[in-house]
Amino acid sequence: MAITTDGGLPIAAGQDPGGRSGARLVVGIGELAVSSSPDDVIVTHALGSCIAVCLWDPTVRVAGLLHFLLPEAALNMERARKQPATFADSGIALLFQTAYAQGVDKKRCLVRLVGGAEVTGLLGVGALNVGTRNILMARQILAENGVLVAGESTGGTIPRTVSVRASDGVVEVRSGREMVALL
Amino acid sequence: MSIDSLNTRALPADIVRGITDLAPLPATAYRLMALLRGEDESLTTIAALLESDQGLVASLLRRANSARYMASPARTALEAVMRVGTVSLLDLVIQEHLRRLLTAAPTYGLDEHDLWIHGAAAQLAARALRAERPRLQIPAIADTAALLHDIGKLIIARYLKVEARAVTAYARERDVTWSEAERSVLGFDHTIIGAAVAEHWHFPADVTLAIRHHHDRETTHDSRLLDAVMLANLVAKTVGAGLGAEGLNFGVSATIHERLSLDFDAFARICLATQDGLHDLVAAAHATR
Repeated sequence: MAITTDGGLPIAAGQDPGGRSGARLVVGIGELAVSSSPDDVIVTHALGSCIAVCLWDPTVRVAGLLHFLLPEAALNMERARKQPATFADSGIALLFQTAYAQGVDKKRCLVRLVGGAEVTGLLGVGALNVGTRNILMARQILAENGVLVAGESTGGTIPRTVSVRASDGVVEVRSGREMVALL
Repeated sequence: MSIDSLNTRALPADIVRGITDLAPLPATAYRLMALLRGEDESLTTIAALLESDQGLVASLLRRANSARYMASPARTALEAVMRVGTVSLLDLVIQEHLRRLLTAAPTYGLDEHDLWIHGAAAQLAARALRAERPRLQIPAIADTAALLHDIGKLIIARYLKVEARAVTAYARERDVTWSEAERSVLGFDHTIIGAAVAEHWHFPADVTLAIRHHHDRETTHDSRLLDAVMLANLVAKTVGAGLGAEGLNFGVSATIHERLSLDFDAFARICLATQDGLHDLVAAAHATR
């Protein structure tokens, strides 16, 4: 079973997109997907300062991935209502709500964070530090909710593509053709 | 800056030929730029010139009849020109021209779509910045300059076969930005070539300057247009449009937000407006396929 969001609302619950198994679920900016189909791989591309929150519950073998753009829904509440996955706070909440519907328990969850790059020379320039703010917000929300962050591939300046396998929760991080991390 | 004023002996002959052989902009673009400079041009003449390009007229009518310009449908090129305005029309003419030139740019780890989407995102960002900070009176041609800011990459990709890995490895080993690595590996960077293209196409000097200096970390130029293009590139990258092999390893002035009076909330609003515009643009592109 896979649930994906496009524009913030689940559009395909109970079925893999197209009714196939072994789907490659591509998540865009401000979207998320959750899957318990063992052959599914959830992928997101073009992670710069955005963050991918990758979730895995080993007991029910459910994986999820959220790709958010900005740290706080308060930046644009109307947008947060229409597309909650755009922001860390509303997006992480939606990711977990969607995962709970598939039997996930947050106490068992392993979460990996990927992305949060910063432009060369702009580290410390608060008005423009999207990547740093995103990382800090994601860590804070997860810590406040007692969720374990089991690994990170964050910061730096590299672009990242990340995938999470629904079969075992392994998170693969690539930059171009290069493997950057296996989490 | 022009191809003549560059030290062309330092450039591969293919690149020089690539610039000089580049198809000129359509006559409509020059007429529109003259109109923007306040010269005496008539929209009727411009609309008549447009009529010879049916693809362009179709795009123009589509834009004029989009929800943004809600009214009774425009039926002729002239009605559409009057509705969308000079700047928007110039953007459209140049977009169509660029679309015909586009190619994959493996030197930069960008495919054809990535190169187009990055320019389009920067253009949307420049427009969103002007709307966010109207008091700065950023010239409207900043949208066009933002669209064109990476045109140098297109020329380099077309005429020089270099793997992105060579530049990426240099940047990583020496801890320098991508443009700095480009200059060391290739002998020039895409901003130099882009400025030469802008000159070749007879763009105003401030557009050429913005293209040439949009990666300067220390800028000595007091130009709102340059500031706008620099920020537009930053926003395009922030929303993940055309990250390529360069990623976020590019030069940008660390005081750009001060010069444009932007705090984090304003910067975030510009990013969101840009992402919204991109979403619509990509949807429209899929719909017309």
